[in-house]
Amino acid sequence: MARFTRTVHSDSNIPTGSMADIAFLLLIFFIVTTIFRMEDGLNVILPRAEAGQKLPRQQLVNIYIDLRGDISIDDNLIRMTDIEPILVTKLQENSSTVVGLKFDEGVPYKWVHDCLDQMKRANALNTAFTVEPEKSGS
Amino acid sequence: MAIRKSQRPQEDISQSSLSDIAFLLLVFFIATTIFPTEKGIPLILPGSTSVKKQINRKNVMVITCDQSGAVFIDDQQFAVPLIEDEVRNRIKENPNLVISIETHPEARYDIMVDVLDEVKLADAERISIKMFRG
Repeated sequence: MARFTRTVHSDSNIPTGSMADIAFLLLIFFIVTTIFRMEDGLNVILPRAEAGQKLPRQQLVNIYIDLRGDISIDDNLIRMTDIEPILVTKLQENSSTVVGLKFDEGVPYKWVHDCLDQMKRANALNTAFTVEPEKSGS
Repeated sequence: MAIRKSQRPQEDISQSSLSDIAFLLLVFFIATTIFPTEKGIPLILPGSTSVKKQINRKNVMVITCDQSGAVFIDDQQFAVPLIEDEVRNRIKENPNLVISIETHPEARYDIMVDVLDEVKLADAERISIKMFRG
C-alpha cells in the first residue's frame, strides 16, 4: 500500500535581520554624498515675471549686480571689465554654461547693457534673466 | 557541593524595530529634501561672429521703455499688461516680426524685464534687446 508522504515545506523566509544595516547604509550614503552648493551672492531683489522657465543648475553661472553697483561672480566682488575674462575661463571648462543674470530690479539699464556687452565679447551667449516666479493670472 | 550557575535574565534590547526607525528616517529625508530651482527668462544673445542682418523696417516692432517707466510701442504709450495682446496680434499679422526692446540707460531694470516677460508670454521668438540712444 502506497504511503502518502507529507510534503515538507522548506522555510522560505527572507532574513530581515540585516535590513536595518542596509537602511542605515543608504541613509549614511545619501548624507555623505549630498553636497550643498552654497553661494551667498549679493542682496538683490529679483524682478517678478510670469514667463520664467526652470534653469539648469549644474550649468549655471550667476552674475549678481546690486543697487550699489557691486558685481559678483562666485562670491568674488569684481569690476565690470573682469566679467569677460572670467566668463571665457568658465566657457573653456564647460561650453554649455548658462549665465544667470541676478540683477536687482532697481538697477539702471545701462549696467545691464554693459554686462551683456561683456558677455557678448566673451561669447557667453546663452543667458537667462533670473526672475522671481509670479503666479500667472495674479 | 554543586555550584549553581547563576541564572542571569536576558538583557537584549529588541532590535526588530531598528529597521523601521532607519527607514522612517530615510523616507523623512527623501521626502523633505527640496532642490531649490531657479527660474529665469532665457535669451540667446547675438555673438560678435553672427552675421548682422538687415531687416526691413516693416518687420520690426519697436517697444521703448523710458526712464520714467513709461512704455511705448511705435511712439504710442501702452500699459504693460496690454503689451502681450498687442504683440500677439502683430505677430499674427506678420509672422516674421522682430520685437526690438529699446530701454533708456537710466530706466529701471524691472521695467525691461516686465516688457520682456510680456513679449515672451506672447510666444514671440525673434526678440532683440538694446539700449535706447535717443
